[in-house]
Amino acid sequence: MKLFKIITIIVGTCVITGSIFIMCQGLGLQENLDFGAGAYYYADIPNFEKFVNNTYKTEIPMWVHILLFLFWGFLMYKLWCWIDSRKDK
Amino acid sequence: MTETEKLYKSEDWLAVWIGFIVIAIAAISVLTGTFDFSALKFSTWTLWEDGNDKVVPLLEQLASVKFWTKLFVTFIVTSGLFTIGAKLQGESVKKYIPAFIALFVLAIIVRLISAEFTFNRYLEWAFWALIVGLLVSNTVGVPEWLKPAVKTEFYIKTGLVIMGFSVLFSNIAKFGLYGLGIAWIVTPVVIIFMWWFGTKLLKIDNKPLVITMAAATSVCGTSAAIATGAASNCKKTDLTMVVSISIIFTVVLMVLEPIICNALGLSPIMGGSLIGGTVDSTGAVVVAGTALGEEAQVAAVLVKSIQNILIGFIAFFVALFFATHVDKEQGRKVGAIEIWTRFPKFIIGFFVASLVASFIVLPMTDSSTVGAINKVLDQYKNWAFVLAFTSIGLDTKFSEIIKQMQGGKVLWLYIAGQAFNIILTFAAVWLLLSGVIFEIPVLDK
Repeated sequence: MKLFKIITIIVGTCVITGSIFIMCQGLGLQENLDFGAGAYYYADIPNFEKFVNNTYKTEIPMWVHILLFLFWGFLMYKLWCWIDSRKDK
Repeated sequence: MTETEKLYKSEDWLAVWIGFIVIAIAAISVLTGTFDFSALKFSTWTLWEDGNDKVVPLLEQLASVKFWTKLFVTFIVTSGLFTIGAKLQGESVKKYIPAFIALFVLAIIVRLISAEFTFNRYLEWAFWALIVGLLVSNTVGVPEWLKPAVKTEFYIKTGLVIMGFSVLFSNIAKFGLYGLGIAWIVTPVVIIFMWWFGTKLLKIDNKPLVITMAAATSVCGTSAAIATGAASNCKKTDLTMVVSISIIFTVVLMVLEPIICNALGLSPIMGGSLIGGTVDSTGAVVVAGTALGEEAQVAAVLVKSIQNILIGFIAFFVALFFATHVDKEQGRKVGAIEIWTRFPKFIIGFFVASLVASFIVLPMTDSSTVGAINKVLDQYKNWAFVLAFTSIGLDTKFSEIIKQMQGGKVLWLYIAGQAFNIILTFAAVWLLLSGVIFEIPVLDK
């Protein structure tokens, strides 16, 4: 347990130091983009639409995507419930 | 409180109505063009001239009339709506208004700090809101008169309803079945893995913390953490912990992932898709994707845009799961009425806003009009979240945060979850985009 805590502290310190180093050096930034890790959601990004509109064309209708989306979501929810109930036994 | 009274007195429903009012006014302002409803957003600033035309020196911003007009509009709208909401929840208006003014001043400081050239690109408002709030509460302390405005959940739920309008279902087909396969197949699997890993292997009792961390890791960082945290009713310290870990790791992953993709010799479309599926915040995804070239940038954003749709669905299923499995008494079945009573109603507001934007406003107008409305709404959402995160900081002690670390288990939950996320996303990317099994899609850059 003590070893676990020591490793955790070392890893945590490395990550924080690494992120401070990255910020101080300005690493990973793109000069023409006025946002970065701080823009959390896509609406945070100016003109987000230009990045996604008409960049890929598919013959498959949207309703197929929505059906697959809902089907997989429902299946995964049931799997989650099943795993959780098994865990309780 | 009767069901009818709840509609205009409960925090959840009031957040829905306030969100809808803001969305309606923003839509009218953009569609008619008769008035400017935009809230204040600090431009990226430095204290000096640095030759970059996007950077506006701070004093120049503060000297403009537009700045003060927008600040005035922001204050009137937020203070007006939240005061009415607080009053309907039984709060004294006399006590709420001075408290809100002080909180709003703190929020201005937060947004000012987070618009600084370097901070803007790495940490931004959620982090600084927590820091400013924590500094106040852990040094001078929070005075009694300020406490009536510390209504974290109210601001978060309102911000989420407003955010719902920007979640467009049409994005689901933007990268065809490739995008769906990478973003949607992987995400729930990672959530279930992290739930199992956190609750069974690490034996973390705090289930809202586990699911909030899982959603932040697998979906899109802070935004997903906010929505899932509210849906699972997690503690403020849980949200603080999750957001801080997610933000710090995002800074590291944003820089490391493009380097790793290059080292592995991944094609731009594979590298971009891997980044889109695994880097937490959208801004960082665009920046990291761009580091691999234009095609990678497009792929990264397409995958991320599908993940962003998931926020509402994940929050919905988490709320349902907690109502029927976690919060129920042992061995007792939960009926439909009880599920309805426990279900967080702001999620309904989120979905309604999203459906209206996707299937009514977008088909009736065009994507640039919806984009213009969202540009206005985005700032109100951010102000609501800044008020929320500053409130969290004001309501939190450092000692509580250290206790919430649970001896480091939370950090390992994130690391294990993110590692699993990267491996699984890489497998999906390889299967779909390497050209070995399926045809490689062509992206217009």
